[in-house]
Amino acid sequence: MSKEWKRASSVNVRPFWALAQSGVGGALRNAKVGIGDDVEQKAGRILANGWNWPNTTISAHPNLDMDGLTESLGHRIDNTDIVVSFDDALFKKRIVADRFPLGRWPGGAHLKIGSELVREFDHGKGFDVFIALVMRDDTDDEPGWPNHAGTWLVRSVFEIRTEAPAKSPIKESWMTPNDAQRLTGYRKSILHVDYTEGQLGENAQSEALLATVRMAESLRPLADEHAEAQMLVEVACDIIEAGKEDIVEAGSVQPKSPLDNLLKALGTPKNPVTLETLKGWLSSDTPHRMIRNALHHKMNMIKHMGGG
Amino acid sequence: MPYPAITPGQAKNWWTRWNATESPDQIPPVPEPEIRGGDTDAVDWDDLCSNIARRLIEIYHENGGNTAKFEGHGSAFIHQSMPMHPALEDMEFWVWFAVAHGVKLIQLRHPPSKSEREGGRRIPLSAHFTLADRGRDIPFFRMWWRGEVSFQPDSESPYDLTAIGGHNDWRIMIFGRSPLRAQTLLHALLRLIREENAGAAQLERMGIEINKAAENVVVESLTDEQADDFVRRQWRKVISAQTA
Repeated sequence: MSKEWKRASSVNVRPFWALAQSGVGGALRNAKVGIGDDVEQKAGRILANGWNWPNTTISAHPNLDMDGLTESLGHRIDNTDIVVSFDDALFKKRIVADRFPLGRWPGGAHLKIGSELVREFDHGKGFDVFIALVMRDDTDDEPGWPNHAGTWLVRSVFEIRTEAPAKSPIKESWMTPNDAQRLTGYRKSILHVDYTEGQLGENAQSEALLATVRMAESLRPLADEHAEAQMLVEVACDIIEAGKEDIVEAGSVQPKSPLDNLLKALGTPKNPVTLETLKGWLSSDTPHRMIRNALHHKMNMIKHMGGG
Repeated sequence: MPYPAITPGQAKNWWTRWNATESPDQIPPVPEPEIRGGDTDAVDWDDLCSNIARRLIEIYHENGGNTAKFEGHGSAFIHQSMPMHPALEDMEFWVWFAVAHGVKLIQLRHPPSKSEREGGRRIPLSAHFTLADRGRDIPFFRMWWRGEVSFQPDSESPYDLTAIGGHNDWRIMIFGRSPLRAQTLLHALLRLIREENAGAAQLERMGIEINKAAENVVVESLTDEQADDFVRRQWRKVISAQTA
């Protein structure tokens, strides 16, 4: 049995409509990160088992279409840097590992980060690498373009880990107007969610999914990776809240059930969030906020787990 | 580079046995640690950690039991006293530190609250000995980390920023807000707290504004001056919301 509903609350939107229309949002579509001498890897979760951490270098390959960027950014290209940064969740540190002026970037080049810095950030467990195009200084640009130093025009995250990610309990896919018509009876619907009511704790036959989320294909060009991930977090919060009764009633966690998947996705496969903790969030005064907090730092992870 | 480590599970069992004893002074024996890392460059961890814990207790008393002052000074001290060593990256080393050498300090710093005492609790919460919240409730890790992220190696007084802010500002806001992982931004915020003498409620609001604004910004790319501008902009929002 399925339940449909629409959500009305707002998500934080980037106010840079001119930038969104410029097409710069796709500039890092082909960006890759190389680990040591290994083959370069696309954005998302990178599983790096058994590599020689202490002596490993990281290379960042933005793979930019310089002609396209020169055209879409115009003079702004001279106030833009390619920034590679590292994020260390254990010691709570973020640093710029390297940066380079975009205007002088030789097309297919890469930035190489030495093993000393990698060593400082990996802790043997992995860390996040970001590649971004970033405004260098404050400007006084036209409306719709960012004005403040540090604002990113586009960015991409590479999560280097030694542990496999949890399987997403939420499947995400795009829907065409025909799909929208079939599922919702309205060709221009932008969101459709199938929540499998009452089966949360059951051992699923195939994919143990909590829900399937379909977004209108027409949103695809507007949704950069970040916006899409954020939207998914909001949807996930709603779905989890909608499943509150099922969760509160669950006495234990069936292996391979949607609930099992959900708890692992909220934590990690080795250290899932406990059922009691999730029940605690749901019975708090601000369940949505509690779940969002848990999901927020996994935002990109959820995006990449979503597939589809 | 060997070092001792015990798992949160071992620590929890140990705590459960302690909790079941007749008196809080009956502390069960420390679980057998696992020795990790290579076998060269030995550090005498028992000696080092027991000395650090002893000195921290003195610092606690020197500050009249004021937790904010204690954590400010204690953070600089523990950061200064610990070697840069792979042990520090292993959270189960910090669990060992808390269980093997930290009981007295933790009893002093995190005694059961009034309501907990009325409920029959006589010992500190298990969170202070385990990784319940990513280690932030183990005071040794929390204070070492505070020293680490506020440390300015090129400054004449490298721990100048460490003492700024209340212990809950650090434990909750700074530990939990990911934009503040960028040290330039964190340092700018600490300078602002000092200059404006910002209170806890203002800082809580400030944390929310920083998070919102940082969604569009690669905060680690900001220079010191840009980071100052960034926090000033958020501060103005906090102030205008107050006066509105």
